[in-house]
Amino acid sequence: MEPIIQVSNVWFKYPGEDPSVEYFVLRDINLSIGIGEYVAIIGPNGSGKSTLARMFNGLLLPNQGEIKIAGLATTTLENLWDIRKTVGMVFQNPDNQIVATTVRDDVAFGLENLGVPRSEMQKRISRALEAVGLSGMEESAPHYLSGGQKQRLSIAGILAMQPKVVVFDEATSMLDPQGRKEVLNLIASLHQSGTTVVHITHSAEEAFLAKRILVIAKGQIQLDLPRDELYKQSINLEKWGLEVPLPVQLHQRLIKRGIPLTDHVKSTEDLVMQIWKLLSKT
Amino acid sequence: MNQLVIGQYVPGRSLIHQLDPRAKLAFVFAYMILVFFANNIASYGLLLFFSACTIYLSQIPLRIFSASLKPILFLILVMILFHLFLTKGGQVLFHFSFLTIYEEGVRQAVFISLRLILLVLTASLLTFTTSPMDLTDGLENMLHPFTRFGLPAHEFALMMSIALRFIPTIWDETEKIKKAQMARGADFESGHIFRRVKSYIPVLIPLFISAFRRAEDLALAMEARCYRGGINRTKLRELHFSTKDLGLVIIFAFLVLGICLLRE
Amino acid sequence: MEIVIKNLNHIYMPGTPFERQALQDLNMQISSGSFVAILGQTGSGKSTLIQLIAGLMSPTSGNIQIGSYHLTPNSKERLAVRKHVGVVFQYPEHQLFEETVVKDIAFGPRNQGLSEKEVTERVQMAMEMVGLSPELGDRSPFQLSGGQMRRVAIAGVLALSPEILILDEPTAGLDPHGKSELLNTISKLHKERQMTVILVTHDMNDAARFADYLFVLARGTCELEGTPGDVFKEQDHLVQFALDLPDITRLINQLNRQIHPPIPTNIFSMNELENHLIERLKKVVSL
Repeated sequence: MEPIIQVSNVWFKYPGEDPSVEYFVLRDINLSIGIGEYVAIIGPNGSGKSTLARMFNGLLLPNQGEIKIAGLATTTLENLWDIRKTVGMVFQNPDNQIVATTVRDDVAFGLENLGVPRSEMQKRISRALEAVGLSGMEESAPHYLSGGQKQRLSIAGILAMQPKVVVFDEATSMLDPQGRKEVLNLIASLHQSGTTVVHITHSAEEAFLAKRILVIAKGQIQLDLPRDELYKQSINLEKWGLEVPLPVQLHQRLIKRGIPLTDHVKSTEDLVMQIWKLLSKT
Repeated sequence: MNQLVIGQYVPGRSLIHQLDPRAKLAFVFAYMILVFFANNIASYGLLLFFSACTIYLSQIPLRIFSASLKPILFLILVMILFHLFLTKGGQVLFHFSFLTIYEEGVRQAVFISLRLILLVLTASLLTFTTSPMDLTDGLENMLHPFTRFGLPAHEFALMMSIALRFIPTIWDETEKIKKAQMARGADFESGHIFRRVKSYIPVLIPLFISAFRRAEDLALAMEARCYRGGINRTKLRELHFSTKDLGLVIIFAFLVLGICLLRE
Repeated sequence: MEIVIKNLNHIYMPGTPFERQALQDLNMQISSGSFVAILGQTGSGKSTLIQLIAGLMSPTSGNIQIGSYHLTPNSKERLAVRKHVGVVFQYPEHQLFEETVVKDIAFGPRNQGLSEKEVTERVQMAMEMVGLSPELGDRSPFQLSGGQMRRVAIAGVLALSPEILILDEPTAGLDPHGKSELLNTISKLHKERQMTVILVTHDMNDAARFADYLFVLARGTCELEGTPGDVFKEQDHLVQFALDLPDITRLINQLNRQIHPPIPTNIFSMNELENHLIERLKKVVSL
């Protein structure tokens, strides 16, 4: 099946920067994401992960190479509106993506832009608000919502446009733990309903909720692995300034001290079992 | 936000709330012009009576209206003093050394303050009973015929609604930055006026920078949601002209007639 | 400077329909030179509390004693207290406004009326404290990276040489590397200069690792307090306040489901856990 997102040999630098290689934010990125996948892109600040995300719906265009969304190249101007309809995007700051003075009007904004007829609009708005758990708050002013609610409102605005892909561009990084949980739960349920999800984050903990994880650093994809594979190799995350899951840290430390554990642990349970077996030898 | 913003929408289901925003906008505009034609007790009385009726019908507590008058109290006071002491004509009512108060001065002082109060009450009634979205929609709709002369009605309305959306956010931010600078020893309260204005620079610069950042973010988010100007756009809100709105025309006609008969 | 808080109440917009009680009969004691963390959900009253301690607002009733100063509803000592308490608010880089890094850091000391020489000394000291290299001094703060901007902002507070430093979510938005760098800097300041540090955070890992005493706020009062070991023992309590356990405590709990006798739950660093396990494993595995 044709991938929904196809990135081929993409190079990018911001205008005005030196044209030498080291100023490129993205260097020769190749990537394809299939329909229904749940992918996390993880990397330290300044690694180019948000830049890459913004290329998925043509907010930024590559200097070299090509990005195709459902077969449509982002560089062709006529495709742009279809592409933005296909790929919805939730940004970092919950305050700076709400346009209207009521919840209902904000969800309507995208639909109005698409020219959706009014009767259809009303149906889609109530469905989207239900999906994010904001039914009954239609008349509320965005200012009175919590951070998590604001982000859910933004997600409703995207869902109403019925995209095939939703990209979360560090959408949880400004939220408190409560708001973060709300959004992460919503991401999981979106994935379950068949939407393709791309989650950009610098939290390893959040990344490990996805099925496939891409590590990006210094403008290049360093690792691209299914979750379980990455878990085994996650001691390498430290190299890129990212956090290593605690069980993996402990495992590595114990091995270094000469404790006979297997080379890789598959999960926390695995580690616990191994330590327990050693201790109960007596 | 810890403060009631002047001109804030007060949700409700009163008759006034239900009127079409275009009808309200047009009526308020015409009514404000009409206020300038009143020139005696009787004509001002008629307008005051009418405004009192609308305030009653709006079902909004009186104290919210009185709060909206607070910011202009100083202006009213200045106007009153100005007319009391400087307008000459009619009988002398009071005389003490260089102060002379004439009958005409008192008349003018009363009428000018009444006029100001009427204008503010009417404008407040409009913003209290009409949601910002309805207001901007109404405005956009009324300005629409002028788009053929190059007036960007849609952009204008969108700008207004975004501004309304961000006022509370930026207000909160101002408070936060103020507190942060106060913690660094900034003093916003003492000193003469020039020094006090200058002391706000450490608040204003961060505020501007943040406003630009917000604008950039918002533009990106709007673009990502397929915004491309007013073309081929549909609207969630539909405006309906009803018989109630027609009633406003009839009421206005009576008011004009009344003022014509009563004024001197 | 010791902080003693007695029966503190704070009500926003009293007498209006928007009235909201943010703090309710709060009692707390923070000893001089300690590193404490204040935990709690959004809306638990944390930010009201730090603004009151910093003398930026007056309480509705009650008393905050800071050293020899008393902050009460009508106290005139708020300004004096501000000279001793530094506050780093959330996203402090959003308050930068001067043309150069040095000028921005000098804003606080200048307001205190120090001489040019003293101001320069303070700026140098503050830049050193947060690890900003002197070459950056003449740069515009707005050209720096996010992490560097935050350091400049924190230096701007440290330049006041406060005895009490309050930090509200200082690591928000930083990546893991930037996070631990910043917290290590703060921990160093606390140790080397005996500065009292009050860390307000949602992050239980940071609280457990750096603070020696914790306060859990909920609905405007202090519901739980103690050493990290004591507080994180109260798992059921914490769930009630929608607070998590530190990752390391969760790992230890998971290990303890199998391992007997259990690993003590007052271990909050990887080194300690490693050494503890090695001690026990030594007895059964020949190393």
